[in-house]
Parts: sequence; structure tokens; C-alpha cells
Amino acid sequence: MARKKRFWSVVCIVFFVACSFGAALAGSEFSNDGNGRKGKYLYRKNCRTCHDGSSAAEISPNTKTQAQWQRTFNTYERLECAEEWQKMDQGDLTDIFTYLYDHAYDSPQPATCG
Amino acid sequence: MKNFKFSQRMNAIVVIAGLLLGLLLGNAPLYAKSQSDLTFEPEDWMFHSLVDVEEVARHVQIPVADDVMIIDARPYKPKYIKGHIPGAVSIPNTTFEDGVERLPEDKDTLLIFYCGGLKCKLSHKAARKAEKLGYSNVRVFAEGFPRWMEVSGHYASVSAEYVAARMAENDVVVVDARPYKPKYVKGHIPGALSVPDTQFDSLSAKLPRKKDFPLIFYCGGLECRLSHKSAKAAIELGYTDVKVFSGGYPEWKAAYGDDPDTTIMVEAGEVEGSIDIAQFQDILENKPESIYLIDVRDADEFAENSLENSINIPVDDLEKQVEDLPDDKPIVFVCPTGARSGESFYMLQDLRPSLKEVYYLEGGLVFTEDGTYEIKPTE
Ligand code: HEC
Repeated sequence: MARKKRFWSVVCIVFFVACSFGAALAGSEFSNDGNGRKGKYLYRKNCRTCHDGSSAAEISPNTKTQAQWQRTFNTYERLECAEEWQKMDQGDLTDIFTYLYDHAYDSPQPATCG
Repeated sequence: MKNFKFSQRMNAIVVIAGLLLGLLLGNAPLYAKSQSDLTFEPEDWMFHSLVDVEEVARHVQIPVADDVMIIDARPYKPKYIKGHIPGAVSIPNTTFEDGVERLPEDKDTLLIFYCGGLKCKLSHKAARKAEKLGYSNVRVFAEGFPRWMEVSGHYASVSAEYVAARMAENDVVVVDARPYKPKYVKGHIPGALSVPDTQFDSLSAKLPRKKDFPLIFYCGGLECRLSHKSAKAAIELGYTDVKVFSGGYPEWKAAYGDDPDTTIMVEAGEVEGSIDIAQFQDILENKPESIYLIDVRDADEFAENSLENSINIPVDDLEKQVEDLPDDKPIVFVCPTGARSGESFYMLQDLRPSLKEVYYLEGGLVFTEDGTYEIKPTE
């Protein structure tokens, strides 16, 4: 009986630790609470310079779904242009994310450029 | 009896005359003393009572004292309007008769005439005319305006015409030294920068970086000291071309009207950079020419329907034109959703931060079939 109790406490602790770890991970995710208006301009300034189809693929908000944008941003280190991202601060990237996410393919207002 | 009375009266007159004479003679050495301080040899044609720049400076106070009048005897245009001793009244010698009404009623008022320096006879001539009118306390500042400007820390006052002309050339910064609220907000010279005198130290960073860039300060008119205080502070900061428009906003309004259309204050909406929608609607209906309404949709969309008074600069072309955007009226960007107009707002924030009066319509400007428009707030 006592043993069983200890078992459950261990399970609880493990579960708790796992949960908080997960929460910590989630905390590093980008969220769309930035300034999307500003993000649209920052995207023009920092991303569209290449991503206009000339030196990199043309990208607009609706080229990805919200989940895809989320994944792209959470793992941007893997992108070929990661260096460009690192030049920007977290706030600006959050604004850009907000813009792309809010107008993603499956968003209520998908947008190409308007 | 009769005779006696007469001679008594006679006596009284003599005594009074004697007293008056004594008073005059007693004062005479005083004039002579101040004359001997002069750093130049008075010419024969000069007026009998001359004063130097220190004496003039002592009487230049804002507001001007009731018992002193400093009078600029040079032509009104172009001399007076371009620069005069602060507080000086313009009575050009050539049109002296027309200016007589500007002279004070009290004939004992100290009148100091000046003009363009030691070679200039206008002030001497005008001083004699004033004396003939009965003014008893007349002086001439013979070294005149050039000497005034030589003294470090001195500056000139200018008139509304001059301010308007320089603003039209856009080669001057006009500074409103009055409190931002409610004075500046209620109305100001279009294009003027608000640097309230009380906040001069913290806001002087708004002034041009080049210290030789022309500055003109103004405030609430001849009684107001703020512009003079700010001008002095600017000179202390090292600005070399500082002037004061002493007549200030009252004179400006009298000359050019308070033109609410060009002095409009845009009210900010809740979202950063956005214009208050109710006010925007009011502007569209009642005074569309008070703002630069820039439609940032593409040219083909604009061609289909557009607002009267709006200009089309597609957001993709805006960057190239950022430097050319005018700064004399607030700019408001519009598009159908707020996306491109918001982007335009942030572009200006980034590329031309000196433009302060820039707004966008958060929400959309949507046209209906019959050509009317609707403003849709963002859900
Ligand atoms: C210096 C040029 C450059 C800049 C600036 C740049 N990128 Fe890239 N990016 C590239 C290149 C090159 C690739 C790889 C080739 C391709 O996808 O066209 C790439 C790849 C990508 C990809 C992966 C391709 C895809 O379709 O999923 C994404 C997403 C991306 N960039 C987003 C961005 C964002 C967001 C920014 C601004 C924060 C940005 N990039 C800035 C050059 C750039």
C-alpha cells in the first residue's frame, strides 16, 4: 500500500516536471501577439528584399498555413537565411510572425500582399 | 491795485519760467554726459541727443514699457520686416505723417529713433519731426540697427510677412514657444515646430542639428516673453541665426487668418499611428484639404474609384517618394483594410522619423458600387 503511494508520487513528480518543461518549450514559441501592421513593413524591409522571387523564393503570408508558419519560425535556425533572422531582435521577429500568421492560408483573412 | 495784481502775475510767470529753464539747464549736462560716452564723433547734421547701444538695451524689455517707444525709421519693406530691434515700432521717416498716430499720446514718453547706422539720416530727421510735434524726450540711437546686432546675445525681431516668405521657401524652422496644450494644439503657424519654452531644455533636441540653420521663435504676441526666452536659450546653445517674430500668433492670425484647415490637429485613435475614425470622417466631409490623404492601393484599384482630394502612391512606390512627402499638413494613409496603410505608417516611422504628423486609417476604406464609401473599423 505504502509502496503504491510512493509510486504514484513519483509518477506525479515526473509528470509535473515534464509538464513544466513542455511549458518552458512552448514559451519560446512565437505567438501572434506582436504588431502585425508593423510586421508587414518589417517583412518588406528585412525579408522581401530577397524573397521577391529574385534571389529567394517569393513568400507571402498565404504560402503557408498557420501551423506551418509556427513551425518555420520555431525552427528558423535551420533555414538557409537564418543569419538574416539573427540580425533582428525578438520583438521585430514577433511582429513579422504576427503579420504572416494572421494572414496565413488558413487564417480568417488570408493575404497575398494586401 | 490793478497794476499791482498784474505785476504779481508777471512775477509768478517769471518764476515759473525760471524754474523751467533751470530744469532744462540742469538736465542739459546729463545729455552731454551720455553723449560724451559715445564711441564716435557726432556729425553736425546729427540730432542733438544721442544714445548708445547700452542705453537702448536697457529699454528693450518685453513687454515694452509704457513710457518708452523705440522707433525704426527705416522703410517698412524690406528693412523693418526683415529685422528690427525687438519691441521697436515701425514709423518710416518717409511716411512719418502717416505713422504719427502710432506715437504715444503722452508727449513726455521717451522716444528713441534709429535706422541703418552712422551714415543713415532717417532717424535724425524723424526725431526732429517728433520734437516739432511737441515730444520733449526724444533721442536718436545713431549707430542704429547694425550696432544692435553686433552685441553678442542680441537678435532681431521680424514681421509676419517675413515669416511667411521664409516658410514658403522652406529654409527656416519656425518654433512655437507656447505651451503645447492648449495653445499650440488650438492653432499655430502651419508647419511650426512645438518647443514650449518651459520644456526648452528637454525638447531642444527637436531643433535642427546644424547650428547655423535659421530659427524663428514666436509666442502669444507683443506681451509674451516665451519666444524671447527661448531665443536667448537657443543662442546660448550656439545657434547663430536666431530671430523672434514678436508679433507672434496674434499678428499671424491678423495677417493670414487662423485657417483652421491648415492648423488641424489630428486626434490619434486607439491603435498606434491610427487616426480617430470619427475625426477622420469629419475631415473628409468638412475640410478634406486640411490633410494629405494618401491612398496606398495599386494604381488600377485607385483608377476604379477614389476619394476626392486623395493622392495615389501605391505602397510599393512609397519608399522612393518618402523624402518628397510634404510636411506642412498631417498625412493620413488609407487602404481597404489598414494593412497597406499601416505598413506605410511604419515605413515613414522608419525612413522619415522627422515627420511627426503621420497617421493611417486602422480599418478599411471601402467603396460601394455607386461610388460612395464606407469606413469599416477593424473587427
Ligand atoms: C539575404 C537574402 C534573404 C533574406 C534577407 C531572407 N531570406 Fe529567407 N531565404 C533566403 C534563401 C536564399 C533561402 C533558401 C532558398 C529559397 O527558399 O528560395 C531562404 C529560405 C527561406 C525560407 C524557407 C523557404 C520556404 O518557402 O519555406 C523561409 C520561410 C524564409 N526564407 C523566410 C524568411 C523570412 C521570414 C525572412 C525575414 C525575416 C527572410 N527569409 C529573410 C534568403 C533570404
